Amino acid sequence: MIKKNSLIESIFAPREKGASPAIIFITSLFLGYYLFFFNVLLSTGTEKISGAITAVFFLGLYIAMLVTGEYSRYRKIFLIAASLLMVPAFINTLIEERGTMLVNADTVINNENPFCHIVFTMTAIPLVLQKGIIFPARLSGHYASIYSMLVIWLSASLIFGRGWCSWVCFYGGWDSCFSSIGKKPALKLSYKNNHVRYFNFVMLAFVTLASLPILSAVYCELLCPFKIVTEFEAPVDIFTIVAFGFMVVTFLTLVVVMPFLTKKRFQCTAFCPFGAMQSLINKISFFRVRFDKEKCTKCGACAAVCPTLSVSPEFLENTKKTMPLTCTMCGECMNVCRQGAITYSIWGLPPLFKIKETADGSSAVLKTLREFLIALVSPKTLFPCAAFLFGTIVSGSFVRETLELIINQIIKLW
Amino acid sequence: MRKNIVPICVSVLAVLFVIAVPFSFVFGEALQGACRHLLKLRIHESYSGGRVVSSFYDPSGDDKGGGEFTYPLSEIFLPGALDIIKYTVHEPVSDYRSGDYWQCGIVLGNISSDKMFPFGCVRVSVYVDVDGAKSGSTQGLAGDEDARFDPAHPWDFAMIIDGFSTTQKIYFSDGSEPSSATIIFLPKKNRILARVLLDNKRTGALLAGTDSWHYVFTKGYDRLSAGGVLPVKETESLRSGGGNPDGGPAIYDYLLPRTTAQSGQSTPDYIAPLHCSFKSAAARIDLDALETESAAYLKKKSVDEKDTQGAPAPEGGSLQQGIAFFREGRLDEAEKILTAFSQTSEGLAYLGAVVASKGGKTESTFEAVEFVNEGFEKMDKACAMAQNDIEYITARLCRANTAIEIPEEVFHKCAQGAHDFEEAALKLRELGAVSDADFSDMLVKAAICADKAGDFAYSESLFIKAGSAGFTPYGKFEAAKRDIIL
Amino acid sequence: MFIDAILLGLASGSYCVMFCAPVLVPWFFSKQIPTAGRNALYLSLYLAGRLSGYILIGVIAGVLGSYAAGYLSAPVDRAIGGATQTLAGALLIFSGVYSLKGRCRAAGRFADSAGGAASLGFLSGMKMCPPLFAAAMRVFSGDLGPLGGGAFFTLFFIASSLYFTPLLFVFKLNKAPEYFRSGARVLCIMMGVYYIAFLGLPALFQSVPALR
Repeated sequence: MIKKNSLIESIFAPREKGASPAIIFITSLFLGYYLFFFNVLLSTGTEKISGAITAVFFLGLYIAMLVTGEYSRYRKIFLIAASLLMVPAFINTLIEERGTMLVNADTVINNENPFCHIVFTMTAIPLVLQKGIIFPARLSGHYASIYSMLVIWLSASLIFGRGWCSWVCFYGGWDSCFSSIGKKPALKLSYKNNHVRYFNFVMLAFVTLASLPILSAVYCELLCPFKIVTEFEAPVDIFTIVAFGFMVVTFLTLVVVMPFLTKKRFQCTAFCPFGAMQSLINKISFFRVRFDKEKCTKCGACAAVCPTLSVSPEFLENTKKTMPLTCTMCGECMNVCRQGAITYSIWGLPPLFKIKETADGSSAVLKTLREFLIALVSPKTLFPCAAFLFGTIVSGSFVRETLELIINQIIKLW
Repeated sequence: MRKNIVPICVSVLAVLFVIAVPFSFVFGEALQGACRHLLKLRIHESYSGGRVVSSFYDPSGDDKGGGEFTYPLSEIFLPGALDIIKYTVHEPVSDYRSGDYWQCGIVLGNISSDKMFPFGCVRVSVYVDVDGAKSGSTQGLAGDEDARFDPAHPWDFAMIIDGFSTTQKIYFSDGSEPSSATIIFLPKKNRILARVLLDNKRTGALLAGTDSWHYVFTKGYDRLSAGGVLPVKETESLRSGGGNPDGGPAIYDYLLPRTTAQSGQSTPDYIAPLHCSFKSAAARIDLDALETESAAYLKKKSVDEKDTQGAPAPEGGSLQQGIAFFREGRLDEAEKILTAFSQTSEGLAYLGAVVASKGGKTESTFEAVEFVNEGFEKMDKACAMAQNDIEYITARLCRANTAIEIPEEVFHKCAQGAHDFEEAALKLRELGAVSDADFSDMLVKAAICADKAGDFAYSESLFIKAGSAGFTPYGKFEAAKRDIIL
Repeated sequence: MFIDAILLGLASGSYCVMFCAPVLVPWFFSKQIPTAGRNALYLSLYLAGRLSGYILIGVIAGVLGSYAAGYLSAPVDRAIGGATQTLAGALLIFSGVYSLKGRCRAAGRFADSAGGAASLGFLSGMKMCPPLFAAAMRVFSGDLGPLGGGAFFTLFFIASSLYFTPLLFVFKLNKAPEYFRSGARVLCIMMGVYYIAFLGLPALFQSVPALR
């Protein structure tokens, strides 16, 4: 009896850090099935090999996440890898489609530019006023078409709002990458400077309004730092030369230098208008980060590690139970909180089920199984599963393609 | 338990959200279709140069001037290089970078030659009259002295696109200082766009949104000849065209109103201009009304087809019964019967269609992919096995009708589907076994397949072919959705 | 006739929002507007300025013979647009700088005041959009008569101004934290620079040669 209980407990009982083997098995099976479906089954020929490597890599990260309970560390590895590996695949696709990574008249006139999620911020109001999308992208029939991105964005917003920035965004990974180099910040940007994050919202208002009189996405034309790793207009006249200059300057300062100096995701925190828009959408998202103020000892560790300066002393003092709007659900604060005051939640609600204590030893098995079920359907399990799966599906094809390119190069050299 | 109902429901919802993640990607196309149906988004016209007001189509292969012109022997002159296929007139557009402009587009037969950037051998003339007989000239520019213009529509501004420069001059009939146009070459689509700045009284008149008349014609380009015009003599040589013994105008192709035959244009009469009204029906196409008409037409067609099929298929597991079961959606029964006929092309083709259709009914995505792949394997085999016209047509139509229904993003079958539809339609036409309406509809389906596969030039040519046979409401709607207005 | 005027006004309103919102929204949101009355005053002055702009551009178009021709010359439109956008940008910068840092007192005080609202309205109103041109053509065509023309234009203007009614409630943001208004002031400066550097001056430089 004791042995059977110990076995059941060792498999099903929730752990302080990390998930139980049963949960790891079930969720990995679910995740693994779809990783292999999207990356291997839907691939053809030699892409199946790179697809398999991609699926195994992602699955490995997920299992490590659940075993160690360090969601943030492995999430960061995934995000950085996906962002860096996206670039060769994306540029290769552009070169295959149109012969160059530069935006040319052909792609604009034929509405063949890839539609990026940041463009949503600038297209909503003109769509209502002028009944047209002010961006020359395909409407459908492509992974980066408008309807395709609309479905992806709607799904992400309903599920995890600004969690996009930490679990999906293939631009945010660049910020993460440079902010992870080295340990000590050369420029201390603490929660005392958290008014920096309000500039996000100023940028959102600016790009939304500035796009109206010209009926063109001003962020894409002038301000986006990530054009340097995707596509941009050839600098042939004053306007395009200025735009090119802006692109280089913003990339170097906001994406490379400032994150490296501050060890914060500076571009995401202070500049990205899409992040600001998702912050506002956080109000309707299903999964949120919950802060149990009763458990909090106000040590400030969470504020110190937050990469987007979302946690401030004022927040710690007030009675609000959900993280500020700018929280990207990265999990860094959960890693450092010794009181377990910060958790993923559904709509910011407290844990849905309470564990009953029973005196009768014969129901220990039932108790363990009940705890297992509660843990299985808890946001702590469901959110990372949903978010990680979402991110891997979005980035999987890019990672696969890049690996395919690398493998082909190796074979050629061999 | 009652206390736990709400937490249980929320937990179930949470689990559903997690499951919804992969499903939103697997069924992404269906979700996109729903969004498309609800939102009906379109790209703002300023990116493509303004809404298309009129499209004028010219038959291909008539680049023979008024008689039997031939191309020079130089390899730069690819067949069709001087053949006008289409001319589009757009609404004026406001652009914050370049200023207000008006765009016209010319599609030629073949300008993809890389021998001379970008298409070196063509000389396209565009003359526009904006005020009727009030003012203008009937004398062509240098090199176009041999062109004759309608005295009732003397041109007010003109440009000659010679293929070497991305800016061309806009000349005015009153001799005032030339303005400029930006030329954009799209050799992959055999297309040239000219964007005329509206910074002049003449060109600015287009902003008034009234009528205009356009003359569009092509000559060969020769940099070293007078006016840059390639001479057309009696016999062709390396640097001259042939088939012009009488020394008529060196114009290879004219874009004319439909009622005018090209052969008449080399006579002392004038070139007939194309009339374009900026307030024409094209600018006010009511897509919603066309969609309603199309839906009603398709519904009636489906009812008529059911009536034509008439009495229930004979019993006894015949091929006809199998096909009837397939049409009724009774896939398992159909499969059972058709398996017995899988040695014939027709049976195998329908069997393949049945198996592929099962992919749409299963809940497992894994299975769905397998079914579709298996179905297409059978249909490919059936096409290869076809020994007569009926089998050929049947196999291809089965394959094409399946291709148009399945997600293109996943299976990439539409390119083949387009060819299948076209070939089947042409074969049926050859046999005299298809009405004009059905022939046109088949070509429209081929065009839709080509569009889904991203081959827009092929799609457009199929729409034009379908339109020549006479659009049904279905074809008219699908074409209008893509700015193809015949 | 009245339905036409209202429909044209509603169509014009969508263009107005496109050109007015980028200057109006930052300016309004950067203010601490204490009461509904003051809010209504600022908005009324803005609309009055806009009406004056409409009237002036309508007269200019008439003097240039645009109604007879059926269009307003693009270089003239661009030149006027460039000049007004440059001035509007300057006003926004002064307003933002003054309210943030207290600098540029004379210009800033004006830009930040009711006079600034009226000026911004006037500069915004000087943009001849297609619905406004259509309304002006109707008014000046003569078939409506002076009273009819006046009524037509009044209805048109009221209909186009409906889009601005949400701004009557900006005073409710009075209790918003100060960083909200600081952000709006920064936005004023950014928008001002954008208007001058990317919209105003390039349009002026491009249109002047065409006007010669």
